[in-house]
Amino acid sequence: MCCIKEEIRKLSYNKVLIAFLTICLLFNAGVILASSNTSSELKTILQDYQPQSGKEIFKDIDGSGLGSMYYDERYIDSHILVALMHEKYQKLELPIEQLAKEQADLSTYAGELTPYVHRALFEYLTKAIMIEGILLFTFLVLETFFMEQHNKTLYTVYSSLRGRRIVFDKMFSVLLIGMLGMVILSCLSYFAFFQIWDFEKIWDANVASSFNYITDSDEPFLWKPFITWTSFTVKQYFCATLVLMVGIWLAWWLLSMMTVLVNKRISVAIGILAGGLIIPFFGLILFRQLPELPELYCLNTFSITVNVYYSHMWFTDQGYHTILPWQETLSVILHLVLGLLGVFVGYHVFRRKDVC
Amino acid sequence: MLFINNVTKKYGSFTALEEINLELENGVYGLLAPNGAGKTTLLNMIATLSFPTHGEITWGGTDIVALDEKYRDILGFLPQQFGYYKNYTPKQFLKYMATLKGIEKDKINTLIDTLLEKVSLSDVKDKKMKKFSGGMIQRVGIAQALLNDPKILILDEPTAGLDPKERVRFRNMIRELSGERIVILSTHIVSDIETIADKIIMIRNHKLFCFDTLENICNTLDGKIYELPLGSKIDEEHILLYERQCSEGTMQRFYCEKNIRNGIPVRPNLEDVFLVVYRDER
Repeated sequence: MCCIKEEIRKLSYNKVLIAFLTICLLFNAGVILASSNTSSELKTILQDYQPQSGKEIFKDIDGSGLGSMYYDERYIDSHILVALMHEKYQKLELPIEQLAKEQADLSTYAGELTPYVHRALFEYLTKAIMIEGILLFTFLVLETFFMEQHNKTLYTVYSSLRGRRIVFDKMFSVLLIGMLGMVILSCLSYFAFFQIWDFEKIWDANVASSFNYITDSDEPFLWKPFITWTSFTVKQYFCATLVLMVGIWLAWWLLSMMTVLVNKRISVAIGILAGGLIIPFFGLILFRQLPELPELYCLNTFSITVNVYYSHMWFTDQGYHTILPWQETLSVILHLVLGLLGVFVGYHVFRRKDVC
Repeated sequence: MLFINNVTKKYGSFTALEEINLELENGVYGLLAPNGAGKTTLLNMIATLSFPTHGEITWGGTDIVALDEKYRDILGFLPQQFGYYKNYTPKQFLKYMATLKGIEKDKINTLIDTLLEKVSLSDVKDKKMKKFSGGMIQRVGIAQALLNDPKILILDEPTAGLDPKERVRFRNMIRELSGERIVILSTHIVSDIETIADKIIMIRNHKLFCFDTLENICNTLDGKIYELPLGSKIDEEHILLYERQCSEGTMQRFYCEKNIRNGIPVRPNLEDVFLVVYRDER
C-alpha cells in the first residue's frame, strides 16, 4: 500500500496530466456547446410533452427481414459471415417481440429531436469521454513505467527488495489516478451537458422509441429502428453505457500494462498501442474487401476501436459491425480476460528479463 | 559467500562476459577494467538487473534468482548512472527507497537522518535535488545504497563526480563499512581502490584476467618497471607508461621485459599494472 502511495505521488508531479485533463474538459465543453442550439429546441418541445406519441413499428418488423440486407451476397462474399449474420438476425426476433409487447416504439423519448439528443449524448460526448479515458490510461501506463528509464532510476528501483513487483504498484496507481481523473472529467462534462439539455422528462422513456433510429451511412440503406437486445429506458441505457465504458478503460489499462511489460522501448510500446487502436479502424473498410479471410473481419469486429466507434449503437444489432448478439459486452469481457491473462504472462516474462 | 560460477553474458552474438568465476567473502573487492570491458554487466547481474546467459550466481549456495527478494533484501547498489526524481528532496527520495527496501516505517526517519549526516547532506535534506551538483547527487546515491545495511554492497563508479576531498572521505567511509560485508567497488580510477581493496578483480577481453591481492598483482611486474629522465635514449622494446614530475625533473616510467641500461628499477604499483595489462585496449 505504501508503494502504491509513492507511485501516486510520483505521477502527481506530472504537469502533462493536468494539462491533458484541462484540454479534454475544454474539448468536451466545445462538444456540448456545438449542440446547444438543438437543446433549446428540445426545451420547447418538452413543454408540450405527450407520453407515448411514437408510432407502432415493431409489430411489422421481422429480424430476418431486417438482416437480409446485411447478409445479402451482393455485400458479403463469405459463407461464414453470411451464416453468422443470419443467425444474429434470427435471434433479434425475440427482442423485437418483447419491445413490441412493451410498446417501446410508442415511447416519445425526445420526439422528433430524438436522433439529435441521442447523438449529442451518446455519439459525441460519451464517445469523446471514452476516447479521452483510453488516451489517459495509455499515457499514465507509459509514464509510470518508462519514468524509471527516463530518470535512470530503474537500477536502484528494480534491485530493491520490492524489485520487479513494483509493476503492480504502478498498475494500481495508474488505475486509481486514471479513474479519479476520468470521474472528475466525466462528472464535470455530464454536469455541463445536463445543464444545457433537460433530460428530466426523458430518462424514463424507452431508448427503442420509434423516433430513435440508426444511420448506417456505409450500408445499403440509410436508417433503421433502434432495436436493443433488451428493453432499456434512457436512464438504464445511459448507465449500461457508462458501465461498459469503464470496462473498456479497464481492458485498455490491462492491455497497456501487458504491452509495457513485454518490451523495453517506449517507442515500440507506443507503436503497438497506437497500432492496436488505429489498425482496426482501417480494418473496418479493408477486411470487408477480403472475403477469403472472414476470420480477420470477425476478429476486427471484436476490437476496442470498433466498439468505441459504434458506441452510440451499443446493445443493438449494429449491422455489419458485429457478428453476435450483445457483442460489445462480450468483447469487453473478452478484452478484460485477455488483459488479465496478458498481465499475468507479461509479468512472468518481465521477471526474467534484463531491465538494463 | 557469493559465488559467481562460470558466468557468461551474451547480447545476441556479442559476448559481454565470458566464463567468469569468482568467490567473494567479506571484504572490499576492487573491480578494475577499462570502460566497455564488462564491469557494469557483471555488477548488473549481481544486482539481479540482468541474468547470466550461462552459469549462475549463488548466495549461501542458492541461486540468487531463486532467492529473489531474500537476496535483494541484503543488497545495496549504487549504479554507474545513478538516477533520481528531480522534484524530490533527498529526504523524500530516501523515504521512497526505504519503502521499496521494506524498512519499518517507524525507523525510516531516524535512519535517513543518520545517513544524510554521514554523507554531509543534512543541511540540504529538504531542498529539491534538481539543484544539486554531481557530487551531491552521488552522495544521495551512496546513502540510498546503505539504507538497508546491506551484506553485499555494490558500488559502480562511486567516485565519479566527486572532488578530491569527497573522494578521500568516501574511501574512509568504505573502509569503515567493510567489516561484515562484501563491498564490490568498480572503477577505472586506480587510486580509488589501491588503498582500500583487499583483492582486485581485473577483466580483460571480457574474461577474468586476475583475481588476487594488490601485492601479488603488483609483484607480477616486479623488475619490469623502470624510470628514466626525460630525453634518455630508449629502445623499441620499452613501453612508455607515463611521465611524472619530481625533484630531479620530469621522469618517464617504462615497462620492459628486459633490463634497461641506466634505468632505475622501481616498485610497480596498480597503475603500472593497469597500463601494462590494458595497453592494447582502446
